[in-house]
Amino acid sequence: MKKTLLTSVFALIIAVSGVFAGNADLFSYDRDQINDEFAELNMLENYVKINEGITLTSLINENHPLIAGISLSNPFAPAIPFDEPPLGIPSFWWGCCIGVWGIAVVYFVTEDKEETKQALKGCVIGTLVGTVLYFGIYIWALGYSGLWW
Amino acid sequence: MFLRIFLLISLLLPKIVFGQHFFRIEGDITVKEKSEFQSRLTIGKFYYDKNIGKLVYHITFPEKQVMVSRDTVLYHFIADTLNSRTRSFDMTKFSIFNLSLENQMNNYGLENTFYKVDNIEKDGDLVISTWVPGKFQQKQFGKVMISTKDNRLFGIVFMNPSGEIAGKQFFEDYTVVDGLAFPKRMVKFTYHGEKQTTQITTFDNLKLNNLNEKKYYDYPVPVH
Repeated sequence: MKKTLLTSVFALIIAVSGVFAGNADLFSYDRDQINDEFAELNMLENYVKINEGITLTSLINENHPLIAGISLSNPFAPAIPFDEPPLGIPSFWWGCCIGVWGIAVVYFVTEDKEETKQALKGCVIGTLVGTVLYFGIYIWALGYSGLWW
Repeated sequence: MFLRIFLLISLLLPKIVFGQHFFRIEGDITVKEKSEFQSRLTIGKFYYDKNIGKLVYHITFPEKQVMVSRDTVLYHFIADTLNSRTRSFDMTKFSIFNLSLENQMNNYGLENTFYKVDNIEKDGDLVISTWVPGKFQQKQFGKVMISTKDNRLFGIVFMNPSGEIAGKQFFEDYTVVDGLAFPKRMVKFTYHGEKQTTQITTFDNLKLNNLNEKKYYDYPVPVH
């Protein structure tokens, strides 16, 4: 009985430590191998840093040996094209003219925070202008109300 | 009286020390990337002010250009003229610059997201925390494992919803600038099935709270 219990405890310890060891293994890589793989790029990096102002175009034009074996590309190739505002109408005017519905249209069509902010700005300004106009006309109409009778 | 003052200082000291507000960071950046078919080398300077919210890269190689990331828009300028605007994920919030200035490096900023800590374990000199997405995000996002070493972020493992490793990132060669610890080297592995992309990012000449370069930190971008 004692022996069985002891064996079970040992088995449990080994199993648990095995799981933990697996997780630590996830956080490792072969640094030397990576440095070897990046040897050409490291050489190019050093050259570019020494020769300030040098660009890829000038290296290509020179047919420089350092880029002979490397297929270099522009790191900032656009991933997702930036959408035009809905129907080409600026987002500000969507919010300004049709308020909350305009914001919703911009938000769902462009899915873009900046454009939605513009629509929101338009909505706030449109509402303020509308309120001022409404009360202005109301006061103006009240002023002339004596003429109605 | 002295006891009261002592208590007050003891309570406020962490705030005074950490509240030595770091809000700007700049430095040299080099990004090297290698995949099966191509290599990339990018050299330049970066500027980030967390109050302005723009992450600005002045690139000198491969070509002279400026990249500005704000919210979900990435602006590309050549000779100070807008060349393109692209939509991207919010690069600023989870950038290493923002995380370090906000003192959120240790949990990679996951604390303020839909991720929750599922498990914490110690293995050798690593403390490994496992983060799982909320119930409604589990179809799109997988778990994330974060390891710290000497109380500094060491590595992150990103998994996809089916539990396969999608990427790994390592933060190495820490330096301390004006009391702020910052890794001088980041190594990132991204896996696409059998293929792998490796990226090494190095930082140098780091400066904090430089008040003299507003034109770089607040690089003008168009309103529309």
